[in-house]
Amino acid sequence: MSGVPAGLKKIFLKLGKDKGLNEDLLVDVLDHFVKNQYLSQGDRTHVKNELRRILEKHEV
Amino acid sequence: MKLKYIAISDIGPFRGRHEFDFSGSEGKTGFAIFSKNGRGKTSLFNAMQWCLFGVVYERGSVRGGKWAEGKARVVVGDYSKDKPLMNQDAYQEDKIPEMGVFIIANDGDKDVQISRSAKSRVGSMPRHDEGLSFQLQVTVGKKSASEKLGQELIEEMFPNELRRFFFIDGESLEEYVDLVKAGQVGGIKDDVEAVLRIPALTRGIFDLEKVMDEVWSEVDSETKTMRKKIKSANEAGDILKDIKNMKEELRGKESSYNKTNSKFERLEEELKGLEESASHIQNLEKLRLKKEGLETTLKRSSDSKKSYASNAWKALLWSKAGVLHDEANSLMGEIQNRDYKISSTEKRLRKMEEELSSWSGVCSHCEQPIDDAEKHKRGIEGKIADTEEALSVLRGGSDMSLNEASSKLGDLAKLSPPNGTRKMIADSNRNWAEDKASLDNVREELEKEEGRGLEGVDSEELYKKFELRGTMRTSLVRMRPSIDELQQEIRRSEIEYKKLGGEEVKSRDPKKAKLKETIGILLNVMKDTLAEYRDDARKEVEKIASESFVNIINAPEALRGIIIDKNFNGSIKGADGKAITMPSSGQEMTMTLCIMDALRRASEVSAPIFFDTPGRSLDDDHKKAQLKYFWSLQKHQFVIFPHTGEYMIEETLQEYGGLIGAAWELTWAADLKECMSCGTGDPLKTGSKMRCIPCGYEWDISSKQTTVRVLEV
Repeated sequence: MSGVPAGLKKIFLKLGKDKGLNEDLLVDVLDHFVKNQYLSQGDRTHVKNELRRILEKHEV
Repeated sequence: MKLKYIAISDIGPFRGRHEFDFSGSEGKTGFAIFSKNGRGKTSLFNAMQWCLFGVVYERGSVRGGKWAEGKARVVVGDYSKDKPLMNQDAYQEDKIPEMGVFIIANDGDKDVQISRSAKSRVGSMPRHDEGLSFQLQVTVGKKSASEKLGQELIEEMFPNELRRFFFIDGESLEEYVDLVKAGQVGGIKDDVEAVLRIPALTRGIFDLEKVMDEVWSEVDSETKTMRKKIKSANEAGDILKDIKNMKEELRGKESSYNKTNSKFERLEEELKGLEESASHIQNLEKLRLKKEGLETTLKRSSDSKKSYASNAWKALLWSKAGVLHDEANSLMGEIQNRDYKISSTEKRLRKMEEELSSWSGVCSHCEQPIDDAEKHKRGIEGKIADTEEALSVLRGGSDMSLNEASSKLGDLAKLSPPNGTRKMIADSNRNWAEDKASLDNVREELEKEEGRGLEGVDSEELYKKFELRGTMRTSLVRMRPSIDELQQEIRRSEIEYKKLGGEEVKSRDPKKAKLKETIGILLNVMKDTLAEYRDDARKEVEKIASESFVNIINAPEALRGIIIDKNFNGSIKGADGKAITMPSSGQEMTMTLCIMDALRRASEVSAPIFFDTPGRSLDDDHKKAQLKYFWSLQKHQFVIFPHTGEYMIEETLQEYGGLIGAAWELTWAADLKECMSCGTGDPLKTGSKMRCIPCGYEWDISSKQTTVRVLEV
């Protein structure tokens, strides 16, 4: 899907980095959320699993 | 996504296959499909939506302050009321009715092909959509997928949620204007948020919270496991202490056992070869013990004999007294019988005497004179005499009274011995005699054994040693089970200790703790982003919409842009920076279009815009300004579906030719003003046909099937 709105990305990265989070993690998480934003809550099991995988990948 | 080619088959008024080629546009982004009403503008508009999303909705409306789609359109059904999407002739004439749309496009540097079709599964004229087979095939670059996965590929380029900003229906737009204007609660808030990816944050927070719950649960479970391990370790520690204590106790017991055992073995060694003496001593011991036992038994049988002998005189005497006792008993019976007879005879006699003394010759019962009364009286007197005589005989028997007889019987009964006395006396005598004989035998044997003696052996000392050996053996036998039991208990405890995993406790998984911490921070970041970005997003849309608006309206001195307030209601900004109070309908329509355009641009989705009846409700100036603005957008293809009354074909093509990539006109045969064969104008209408006078070509004008005519740009 097309890109993440610049304003959203800017704020998210700024606040995340201020809290000490890694920029790559923030970018991956935001991309993942934007890509799956229109999936309803009932269909989000794989979104949640992939999110956890992203988080763990960056924590290792 | 940019369109290159569209083909539609048997949709709306399009019978058969019709093609639209967008590929020769050479960078131009404007496209127009003109027609009069009923020729298929909206059908083509719907065909595009159906191809991309698999569903077409009826016109939406504002409900409860929010936009709501109409109901989904059917592909086949009742043509008199349902407005099915499939071409009616195809539905009624084809053996296997089918409709389809095929799109070729590109998305960046990727080629895109989308093919969607609906084909009858039940032969001709399926009554419902359930009788159709729907197929979708999508290729994007090197990826290819069908059905659900194919739909996902499409929506990665073109999200369904945003379709309303790319498929704009001029008629619905009027309602949308009301939604945008102040007064509708919430207004376009949901749209703004959807376009600006706010669902990414709100749903992302939901996902993160779910992951957080999951990690919490795992950490909690880990903590429980650790607590369990600590508890186990404590238990293991206690067991280990017990094992140490038991081992200590076992060592003591084994040491004691071993000492006793070695003494016992030495003693055994010493007593070896003294077996004969041992046998003698053992015999002595045995006989002595037997003698002691028999003496006790004899004493008991002697006491018993004495006890039974005390009743012997009674047994002897009873042989005589028993007979007297029986006689006395019999006599007592007779006396009792005699006394009874005397008493009853006396009673009868008294009654007869009374009857005689009161004699009157009248029956005492019926009070009637008795016949032969004298004879009857004499009878009574005779009976009295007989009775007196009988009484005299009875009284003349034994003169012993009942009391005397009873007393005699009691005295004799005192001499009666207890039951079985004779047998018991006999038994006790026999037992005593047997016990006495046994004891005498043992005494004799013991005397003989004691008389044997052993040369050079201190039998007393030897006896003590044998006695000690016996005690030691007993002691060893008693000690062994206690030692075995303790060893088993130690083994059990050692197994239990191993089961508890010893005293080692692993520390908590540090990765999960770190993950939990990261999610916590991320959640805060997302919530803060959401709060900050919502307002920024509103301002962003307001800024973009204002730029478009000023461009289209082109009156910067009077109208300076658009205001979108915090409740997401839109209004037009006047020269003083405040919302103007009486905007025209054209201004409001333009404002709405600009907000939609701003939302679309902010969404960063690159897809064509399809605008059905775009000039509706706009005056000429606004219509022109609108086309000029949208057809100048380089990022998006802008395809309009105007009614030929909204935008005149010749005029539009002439004025905007430089911005238009391609244009088409949808016509029926009746609309043609030129010969389909030679192109000569002014054909002659004759009934249901049109005839070209110069070339003689004729065509049917009663058909309502649409033909697509490519316009020269």
